[in-house]
Amino acid sequence: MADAPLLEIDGLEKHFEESSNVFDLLMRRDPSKIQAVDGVSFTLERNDSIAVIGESGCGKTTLLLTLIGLHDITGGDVVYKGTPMSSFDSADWKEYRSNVQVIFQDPFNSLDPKMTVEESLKEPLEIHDVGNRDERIRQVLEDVELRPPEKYLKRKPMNLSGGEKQRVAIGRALVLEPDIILADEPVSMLDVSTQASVLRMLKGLIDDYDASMIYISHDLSTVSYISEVVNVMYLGRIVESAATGQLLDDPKHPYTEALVSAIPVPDPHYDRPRTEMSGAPRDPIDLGEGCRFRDRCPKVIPPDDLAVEQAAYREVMAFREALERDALPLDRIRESLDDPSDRDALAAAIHNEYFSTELSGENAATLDSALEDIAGGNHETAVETLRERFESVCEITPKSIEAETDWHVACHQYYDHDRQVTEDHAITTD
Amino acid sequence: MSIRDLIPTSGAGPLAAITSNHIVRNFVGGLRLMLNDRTTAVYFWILVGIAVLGLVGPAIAPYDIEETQYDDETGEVLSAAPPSLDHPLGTTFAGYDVLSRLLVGARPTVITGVLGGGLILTIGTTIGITAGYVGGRTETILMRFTDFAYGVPLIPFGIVMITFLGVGFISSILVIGLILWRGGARVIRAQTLQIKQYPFVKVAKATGASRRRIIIKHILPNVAPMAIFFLALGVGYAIMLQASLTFLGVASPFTPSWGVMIRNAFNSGYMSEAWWWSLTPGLLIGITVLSTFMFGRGYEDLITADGESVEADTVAA
Amino acid sequence: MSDPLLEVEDLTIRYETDGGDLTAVSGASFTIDDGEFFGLAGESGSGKSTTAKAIIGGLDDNGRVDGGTIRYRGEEIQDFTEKQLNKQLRWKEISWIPQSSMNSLDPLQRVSEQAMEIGRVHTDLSKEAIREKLKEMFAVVGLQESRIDDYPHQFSGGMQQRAIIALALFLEPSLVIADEPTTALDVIMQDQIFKYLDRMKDDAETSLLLITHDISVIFESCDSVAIMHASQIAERGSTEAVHDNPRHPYAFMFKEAFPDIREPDRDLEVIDGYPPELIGEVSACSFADRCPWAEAECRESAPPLDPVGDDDATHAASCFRADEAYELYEKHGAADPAAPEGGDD
Repeated sequence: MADAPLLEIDGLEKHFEESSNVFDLLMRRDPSKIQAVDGVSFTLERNDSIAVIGESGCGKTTLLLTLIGLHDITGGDVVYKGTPMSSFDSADWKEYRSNVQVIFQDPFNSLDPKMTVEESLKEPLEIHDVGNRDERIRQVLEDVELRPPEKYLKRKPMNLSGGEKQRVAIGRALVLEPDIILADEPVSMLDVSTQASVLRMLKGLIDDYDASMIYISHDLSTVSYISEVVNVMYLGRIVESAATGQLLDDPKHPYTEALVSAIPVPDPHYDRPRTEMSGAPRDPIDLGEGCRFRDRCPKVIPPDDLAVEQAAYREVMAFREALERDALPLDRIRESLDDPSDRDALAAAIHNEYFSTELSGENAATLDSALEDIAGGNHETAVETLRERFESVCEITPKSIEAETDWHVACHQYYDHDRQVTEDHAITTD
Repeated sequence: MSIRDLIPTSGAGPLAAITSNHIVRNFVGGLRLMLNDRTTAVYFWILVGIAVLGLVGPAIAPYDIEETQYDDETGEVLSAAPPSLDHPLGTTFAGYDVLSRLLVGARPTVITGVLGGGLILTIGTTIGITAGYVGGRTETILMRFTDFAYGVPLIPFGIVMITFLGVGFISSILVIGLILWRGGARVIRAQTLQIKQYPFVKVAKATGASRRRIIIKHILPNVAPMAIFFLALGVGYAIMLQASLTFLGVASPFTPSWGVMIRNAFNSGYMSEAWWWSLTPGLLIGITVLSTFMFGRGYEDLITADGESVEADTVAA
Repeated sequence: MSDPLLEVEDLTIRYETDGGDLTAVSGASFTIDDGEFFGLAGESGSGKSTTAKAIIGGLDDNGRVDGGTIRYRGEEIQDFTEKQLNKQLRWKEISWIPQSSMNSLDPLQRVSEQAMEIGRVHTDLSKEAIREKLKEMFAVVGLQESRIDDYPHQFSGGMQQRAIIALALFLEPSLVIADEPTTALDVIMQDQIFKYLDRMKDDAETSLLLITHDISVIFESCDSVAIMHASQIAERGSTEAVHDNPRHPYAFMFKEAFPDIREPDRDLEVIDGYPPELIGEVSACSFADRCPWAEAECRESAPPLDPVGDDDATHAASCFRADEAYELYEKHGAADPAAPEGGDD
């Protein structure tokens, strides 16, 4: 098994079912699926340091919890040194758990407040019945720069600063000399003047202990300090994966682009334009097919033969998204009208709510006709009308392709432009 | 429960093993610590004092608790007589010496408090933690059972229990203990659910800690404050409720626990006039409950804070 | 020139604790004009939140203003009673966006109802007028006007934050105090919020007192900045002046501790130790034990906040070595080559 990568994550899926309530049972509706992690793949070799970046709700925390075995895999697999997690027996689990350790974000709750530093560090050693405990504990305290170790052994978390607590948490992760360390934003809750030193220390220790690291964060700016490769995650999927420097310099995926350009630049002379993005990521519930970013993407791709302004097209796509998910707040809009039964007024109000740009010609006519249908209660017709005219290739799930060496993007922009959307919504090359 | 969870392999012998167990070490160290903190020590000694009363009370009572007292001069029954030199706490309606009854009554009270409070604490905590931590069907079953316990009215339940256990002192305590754990169970379950979410529990799980280990080493010490609160409440409830069960015949009205004394005073109709009769036992019950709680919390706080003094020097963060 | 909107002069705030009188703010001075975005930067224990709370009368019970003044439009307000604060200042002159404010909306009340309450207590406006104002503000922050009657849970996290900003703004206060308003948010949402705050500055000349530890946000979005360390203002001035010509060691080391996306490989600065807790009178530089250039006099008296003498009249630093510290840092890094061997620690 010498050639097998340390950790191979292969199409990993973790879906949750929303707990069904009485109504769902009565109506025989299937409970909604929360697709927290939906097809994540990447590989971790010895001494790699990889980051997974994303906004809150993108699934990175669920990914972490699944990788440490606290969630059951619902699809795909995680292969550790050649053995897939789905077929782990208890001995495999034991080995995995002693070799894969985790550091969490919140220093205040990462250590049991009732246990001394010594007890917290001893616990992993006791669980795996490792010898030389006192020596190992002492060594690890030295390594995390809590010196002299004697001073810290009998302390309790409430007598440690945030930085010290986090160092103990890191020590606890190292005491079993694991192969892999998973870190969930380990410094974001520390004071800035300590963040750099803890990060620096962590990076050095990963090297010293010959371990690999998966670093999860929402902060792209500290990532370059610690990871060589960045995976950008959005709504359960990896949308771009590249070497850190390259990604920050010239992001390929529109979401990465939006992220990078929203990072504050600490310079009053630099005029950074504010983000164009509006709204927030959808809930990861019943996401269906297609690119998940298409309702917010500034570069969403209109059909080849359609003449339309990009800004207007974006609004059309956002609107279609809401319509198809049955998320139009019709009741609220109706209530705000003088005459709730006035269909024209309703159509106009919906238009106002979703559109700040103007469409023209055929486009405008199609939209108006769809709005009329919606006001009249004909959802399906409206959906079809709009789909016929405005359907985008982005409604097909983009595969991750290698745009350049070791640079993967999941975005239709990088496909051959000869692809068309056919009648049955499959990608074909022309 | 695997002994390996508790005994580190570097222990020297069985005694060393036991004393190096984190809970025991904490208790002994804690007692030492606690005696340094004046407030907690005060409550500790009060509880010790009450326990001593329970032990020696009957021996030092000046009169027989059922001996009718007579006025030395007039020869009349000293019914509901106010405090005097002969009877520093006065007499009851029936002419019994209150002080003696108080002293003799200490023992059954202490037993009721300890047993009743202990039962409530143990059952409540066990059910609460198990439901909270294990979850799933176990939780549902346990919580529905708790709801059921909420629905059971104490008195009728008491009557039903005497058919099985017979009238008596112990059976009254059992009746109380077997129902009143319900409040503690709910709250401790809620707390357990909360603690389960904390990163340190997740880390323990991810490292491979067994369920038992997590419950004993992580959950239990962290629900301790809440559990202590319910222990104190339990002690109070047990004492008071045991008294109300007497008039049903569940418990024996002749065991003059402090709760029973208050009950008797109430029933006689002389409660407000003969204030000495109910006030002292009432005060003592209050002090017992308060001391249990304050000592428990104080002890718990000290354990959390740790005995090591923290130097004020600057340490690299 | 009219009075500045807010003038804080030599402000000292202490908390009564079992261990003595804890000095949270010592001799702080700064001004904010109309339409000015002012950033108050610092780490935990710096006193920035305490300063802000004092302005709005929200100090904890054991805190008190021990010296100095806070003037709003020329009038001293540090001793205002609750009644005066409510009647004259809160919500309609000065409003407050607290930390972690995502949870400060009452989940049982519609947003419009909460606005109604605020409006009724602090103004004489009619119900309709309050609703109109709220609608306007919703539009400014990018929320749909028809949603003013929604309950908080019907909004997503980021939208709740914007609803709170709308509530803080709808009575058109002159000064908004925001305590870490975007710390819990992602960069994209943070940018969206600042977009709306910019609009508010342009449209209504509203001023902002932004309290945060994130100096990048301050340098980018604020006109002026004051950097605090353990109760003292280390440096203060326009963001341009402080950025281009930093004088106080804490100011430039703090700045260097933040990553700049334009230089991803730069080593981030580390500051040893942590801020001291100060009891009673502050008679030394609170940064002395952490400062590579500290000398004897730094521990003997608190350096005064003196003007730096460059183009910016408000640019001042409280450091005895303000004229040379930055140059030494640039040449030798965080070590003073002129310092005698074997300093403290």
